[in-house]
Amino acid sequence: MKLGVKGKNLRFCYQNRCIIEDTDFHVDPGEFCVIVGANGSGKSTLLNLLCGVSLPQAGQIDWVDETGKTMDPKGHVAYVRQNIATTHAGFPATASEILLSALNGKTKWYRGYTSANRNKVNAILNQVGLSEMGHTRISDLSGGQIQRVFLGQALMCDPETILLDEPTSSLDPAFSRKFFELLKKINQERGTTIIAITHDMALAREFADTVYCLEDTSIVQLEKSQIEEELRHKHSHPHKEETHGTL
Amino acid sequence: MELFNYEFMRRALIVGTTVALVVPAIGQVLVLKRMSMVSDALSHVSLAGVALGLVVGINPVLTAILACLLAVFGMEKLRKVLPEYGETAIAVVLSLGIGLAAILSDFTQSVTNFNSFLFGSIVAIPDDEFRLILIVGALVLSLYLIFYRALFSVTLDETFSRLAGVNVKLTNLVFMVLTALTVSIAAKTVGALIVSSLATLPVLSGMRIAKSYRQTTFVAIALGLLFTLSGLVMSFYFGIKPGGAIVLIGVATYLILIAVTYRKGEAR
Repeated sequence: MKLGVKGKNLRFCYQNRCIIEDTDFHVDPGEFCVIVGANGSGKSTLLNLLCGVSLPQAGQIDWVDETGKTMDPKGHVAYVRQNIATTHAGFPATASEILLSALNGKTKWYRGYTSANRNKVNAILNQVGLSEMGHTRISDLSGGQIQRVFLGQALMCDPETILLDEPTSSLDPAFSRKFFELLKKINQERGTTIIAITHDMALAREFADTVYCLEDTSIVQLEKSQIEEELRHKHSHPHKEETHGTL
Repeated sequence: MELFNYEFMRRALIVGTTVALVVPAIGQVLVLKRMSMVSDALSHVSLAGVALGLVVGINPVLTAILACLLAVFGMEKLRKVLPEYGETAIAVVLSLGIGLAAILSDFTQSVTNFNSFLFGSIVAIPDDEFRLILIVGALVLSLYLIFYRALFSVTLDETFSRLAGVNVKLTNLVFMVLTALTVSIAAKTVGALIVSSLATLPVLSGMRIAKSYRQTTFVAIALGLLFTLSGLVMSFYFGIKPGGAIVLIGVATYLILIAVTYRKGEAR
C-alpha cells in the first residue's frame, strides 16, 4: 500500500500571525515531495499539522491510500524531527536500541525483542550504510550517521510515508546529497512517500517529484522554471540562502 | 558486621536499597528529558506535605505523596499555559513548596521531626512509614518495568512514538505519578534537599561509562545502591548524616569518572 495526504482549506494561526490560510495541499501516494520556504514561513508547522502534533483551526487533513480510502496515520507514517543529530547527540543509546525502539508501540512489555526483530535491525542498518555501527552509542557517531540512525528508526515501522523536518540542516553539502540519494532509493525501492523540508533548492530540483513553497500563508506548487529561477538568483546572490521574491 | 546487630540499621539498609533502586531509575528519564530540576522542585513540595502531615497528625510520608502528586499535575498544567516559558513552572512550584513548608513548619509540634526531612532520617523510620515506603517502592519499580520501553521511546521522541503506536499520554501520566511517588519516599529517607542529587549523580556517572541505554540503567541503579549503602555504613561508623554522606560519595565518584573518562578523550 502507498499513502498520500490531502489538506483542504487549511488554516493555522499563532496568536499574532497566520501561517496558513484557506490553502489546499496534496501529496500523491508514492511521491517524493519537498517543501521549501524562508525561515519562519511555517514549514515545520505544516509538518506538525500533517503528523497531528497540531490541529488545523479550519479545514481538514486526510491520509489516503491509492484507492482514495482514508487512513489513520498512526502506524503508517513515521516522522524524523528537526536537528535530531544535534539534540540527541548525547543520548546514551546504541544505534540498534534506537531502531528497536520503533517497535515499542507494538510489542508487549513482557516480551523480548525477537531474532526476526534483530535481523530487521541489521538489514536496515545495512540499508542506511551503518552495518558495523549497531552496537555503537550514537554519541560516538557523526551528525550524518546519527541522522541515518533516525531514518533507520523510521524505516523499522515499515511506514508508507516518512516526514522529515530539515534532515540535512546539520550536514555538509556532500553528505546532504548522499542523504537525499538514500531517501530517493527508499522512495523508489519501497514505494514510500517522502515529504521532506529543506532549504536546499538544488536538492529539491534534483530529487523531488513535487516542490511546494510556503509563502504569505499559502502553499504554492513550484514549476521547474521557478526552481531554476530561484537557483539562478541564489548563484548571483550567494549570501542569500533563503527563498525570495515571488516564491 | 556490627551494624547488622541493630534493628534500626537493618531497617535503614532495606529502605536504602528500595530508594536506591527506584530513584536512579526514574532519574535516568528525568535527566534525559532535561527535567532534573523537577525532582528538586518536588522535593521542596514534599517538605510542605510533610509539614502539613505533622500539623494535622497524619503520616507525613502520605501527605508528602499527596502534595507531590498535586504539584506534578500543577506543574504540567502551568507548562501548557506557558509553553514558551515551560521551565518557569518548575521555579513556581519550587517556590510554592518552600513557602508553604516554611509557614507550616511554624505550626508543627516537633521541629526535630520536620528537620529530619531536610537531610533525611533513614535510621529513624517508624513502622507505618517503613511499610508505606516499601509498598510505594515496589509499586514504582513494577510500573517502571512495565513502562520501561515506552519511557525510552517517549524520552527519545514523543511525536515519533505517538505515530509508532506508543500511548504517549498514558506513559507521560504514569511517569509523572512515578516521579511524585519516588521523590516523596526519597525525601523522607535521604532528605528533601538531597533527593535530586540521588536522581542525577548515579545517572550522570552511568552515562560516562555505559555503552548503551540499558547498561546506563543498570550502572545507574548499581551506583545508586553503592552510594546509598556506603553512605549508610559511613554514617553508622562516623556519626555523620546519611544523606550528606550519600551525596558526597556520589559527587566524588562522578568527579573521578570525569577525570578518568576525560583522559581517555571520551567527552560525554
